[in-house]
Amino acid sequence: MGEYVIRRILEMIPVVLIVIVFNFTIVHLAPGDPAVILAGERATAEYVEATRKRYGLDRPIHEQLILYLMSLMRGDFGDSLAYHRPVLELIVEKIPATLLLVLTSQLVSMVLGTLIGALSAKKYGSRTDRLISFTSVILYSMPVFWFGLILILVFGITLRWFPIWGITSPEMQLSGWGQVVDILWHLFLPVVTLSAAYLTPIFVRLSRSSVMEVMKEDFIMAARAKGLTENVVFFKHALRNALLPTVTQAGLLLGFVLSGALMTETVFGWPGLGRFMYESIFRRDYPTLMGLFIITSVCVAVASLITDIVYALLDPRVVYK
Amino acid sequence: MAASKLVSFLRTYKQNDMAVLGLVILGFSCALAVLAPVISPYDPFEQTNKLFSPPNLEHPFGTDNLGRDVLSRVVWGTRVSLLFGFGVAGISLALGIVLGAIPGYFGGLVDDLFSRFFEIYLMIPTLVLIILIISIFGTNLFFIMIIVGVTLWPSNARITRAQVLALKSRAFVQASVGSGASHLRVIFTHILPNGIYPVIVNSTLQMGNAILTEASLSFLGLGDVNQVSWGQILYVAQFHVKTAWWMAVFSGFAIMMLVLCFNLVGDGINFVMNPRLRRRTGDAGS
Amino acid sequence: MALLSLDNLAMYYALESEWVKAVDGISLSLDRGETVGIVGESGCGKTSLILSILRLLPENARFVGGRIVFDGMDLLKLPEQQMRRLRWRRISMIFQNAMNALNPVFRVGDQVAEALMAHEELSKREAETKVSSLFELVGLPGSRMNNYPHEFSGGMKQRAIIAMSLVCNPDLIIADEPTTALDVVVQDQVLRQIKEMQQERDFAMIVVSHDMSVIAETCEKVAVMYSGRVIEQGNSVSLFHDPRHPYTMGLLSSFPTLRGEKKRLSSIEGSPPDLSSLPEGCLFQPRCPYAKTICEKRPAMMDLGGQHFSECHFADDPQLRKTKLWGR
Repeated sequence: MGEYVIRRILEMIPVVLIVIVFNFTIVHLAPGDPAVILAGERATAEYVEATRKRYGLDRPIHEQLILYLMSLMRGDFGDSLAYHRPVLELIVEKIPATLLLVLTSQLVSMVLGTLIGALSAKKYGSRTDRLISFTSVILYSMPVFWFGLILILVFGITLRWFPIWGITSPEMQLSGWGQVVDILWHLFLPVVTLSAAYLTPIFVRLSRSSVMEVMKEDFIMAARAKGLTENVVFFKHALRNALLPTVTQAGLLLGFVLSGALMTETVFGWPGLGRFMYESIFRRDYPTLMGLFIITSVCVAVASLITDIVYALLDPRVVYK
Repeated sequence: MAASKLVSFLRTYKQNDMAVLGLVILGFSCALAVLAPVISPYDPFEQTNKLFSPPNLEHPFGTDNLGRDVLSRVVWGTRVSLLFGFGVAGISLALGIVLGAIPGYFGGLVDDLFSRFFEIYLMIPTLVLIILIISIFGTNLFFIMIIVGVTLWPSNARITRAQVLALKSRAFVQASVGSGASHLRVIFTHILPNGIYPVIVNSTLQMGNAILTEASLSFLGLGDVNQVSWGQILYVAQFHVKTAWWMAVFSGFAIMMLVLCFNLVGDGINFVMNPRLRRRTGDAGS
Repeated sequence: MALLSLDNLAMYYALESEWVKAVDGISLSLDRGETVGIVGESGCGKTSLILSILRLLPENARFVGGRIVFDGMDLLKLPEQQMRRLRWRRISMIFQNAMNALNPVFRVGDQVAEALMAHEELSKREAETKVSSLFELVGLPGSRMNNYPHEFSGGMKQRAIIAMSLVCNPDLIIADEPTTALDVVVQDQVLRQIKEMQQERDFAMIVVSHDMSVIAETCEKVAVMYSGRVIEQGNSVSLFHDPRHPYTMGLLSSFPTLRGEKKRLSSIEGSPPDLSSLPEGCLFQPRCPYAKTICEKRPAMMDLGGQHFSECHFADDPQLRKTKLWGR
């Protein structure tokens, strides 16, 4: 298994390299002076020249690429035009908020989606099944940020049950457990948004078809022949096998989840990478955007590796040499 | 021949109510798009001094921050959405079929390259990529359409490749090869017509995705501000949620309906093509 | 009293607009300790028949007539809860495809123990000990209990399945194509194993197969199934030496024997009728080389004495027995 992990990490390197080269290329292909692009439109002439020196933009192209690579390896992703601080530092600061949102939503969606989908499969063809399928496809068709706006309108503004912005209520000056509860209170609507309008419908659909496939297998009939109750047959024998495609799919969805998180954080002002990206777009903060592109690619790759490891643990047939 | 195939296709398609609903909504949307100049009560660009009026008899969907009638804007927005959806799906389809058939048919190094490429593609967050490109190069609608189409073709290619692989060893294909037909001819006259259905289904679903992407990009401020698109309406609406809920609600609802119908139609086609899905109860044993 | 008796059993599958008559009036009986074989082509309804006995049929299956009586109980009238208690403990199965009958994500030993613990009050420890000794009995090392199905070879999986079928000491074991998935050498070992176990534990057995040689080796009585009906049945010796139905004759001549005269193998041309639209007359008529006009009428089951029955107009016709119907 250790070998496998190392091999996979090595495989990720080309991906990251491609992203890096892409960043490099795009800055040079873009209309205008790369130094101006990287320094920002509102930069003073001196700042532009300082930027040019800093990134070696007056050097030959191949040298520039190497410089870029080397600075990345040093952890120098450039400075944010908005905050005037190193991009990498800012990104690292904001990752936890995004992780909190994404992991919570993913977990909720997987559990809820799998159970609902399984229920749907069990009652195949019934009204419950069709209702679940219909609701699922409607939720999936909604723009995730629109769903967020609707929730804000109903539960935040009209009913005032939940906060509509940020991760904490600084005016309340809470600490310790109070702060934890405050965060969870703020977390609720974003998680419902990302989960309901984006992730859960996918898992419902997947779980449903997966369970239906598994129920046709011979070992299900064998389990029944052994005199086991329908519940044991379903929850122990069927579900365990049906979960495997779910885990795989969860892995394939990671780039997708990130996009959803981006939109959700924007709507709710959630102080994670997504919101940071939104601000950077607004300000045309290219160093940040490019840094985010690299980091998000790395995140997706790492998460996909973790998914594969989890899968190997669940399916005894998989042997990673 | 083709006509009778279509008839039998439609007959099976009809059995699925949801799919029919999807087709109806789609038809309605297309009608709206075509008839927009006629149906729309006001000019979508016309600014009045009735800013932020809530829905009323004169303006059933209210007016926006520049006094423009939201209903008219939503009706006209159908054009952009449909154009964008079909455009992106078309680009993705064309690229996907060609770039998927080649590795599938010729195999070997080309195929290995493709597989490697696809693995890498899966790991790249495409929305971030699109954002980066558009923020640097500009927000023209057609440009966005091309970029989004280009980020979507690999999934079509993967399906095409699988289909080509499965079909190329079939007898009728071998016969054609044996009779001296050129590779191009074999691919386009024999393999693709038989293997196209999963790709069509996928493309239909991609149309829905494309529309959602356009909405998302616009919402983030990266849309084409010169267009009357639902995403654009939402972009402005987000700053006035508390004061003018109608701006956000109706445009988003329209998006949902159109994407829904593409999803339903895609599922409907899948339903026809996959006989297994149609059996309501178990198969007979032996 | 017979242990199991099927009395004119009829079970159809309900498809969208038609009935598939998988079991269409079958009568069979089995005494304690006896072995009955059911032989026929694929699609003839053999699997449906045995699934009917255990009531493991899919949702669209309907019992439309007849009875299944096991040890005095009418199985079709039994509530599901009681049926469940009966499954495995009194009637167990050896599955056709051992590979697929075992759940790939659980250990083999656990799956066997599961069957035991479902019917007896045992701790996990006790169950495992029993399973371990059972494994040894069928020729598997007890330590293999902790392996997963994919770590077993085909023959080993089949033995595990056999062990599993024995674990609750049932009165009846239904073996569905027990050796089809195995190569010839292993087939022989497995069959021998089964026979050994049967002698030791004295259970009755139903062996379902399309392979005449397997039936010949293991069964005292044979029932030949065609298209949802039993068209000939009797004790295996008389059936094999003196078949009274063209179909049985056809089956016999399409299997090679290692000993005996060299003869050309034949096959029965054509294919069995569609179970959703059966012909009015004799089911075998379209493929029967001996068919005459009277065959347009369904033949009745003819009692040929000595528990030998055949559903052919010419079952007792000496002319039929003399004619070489199959082979050139």
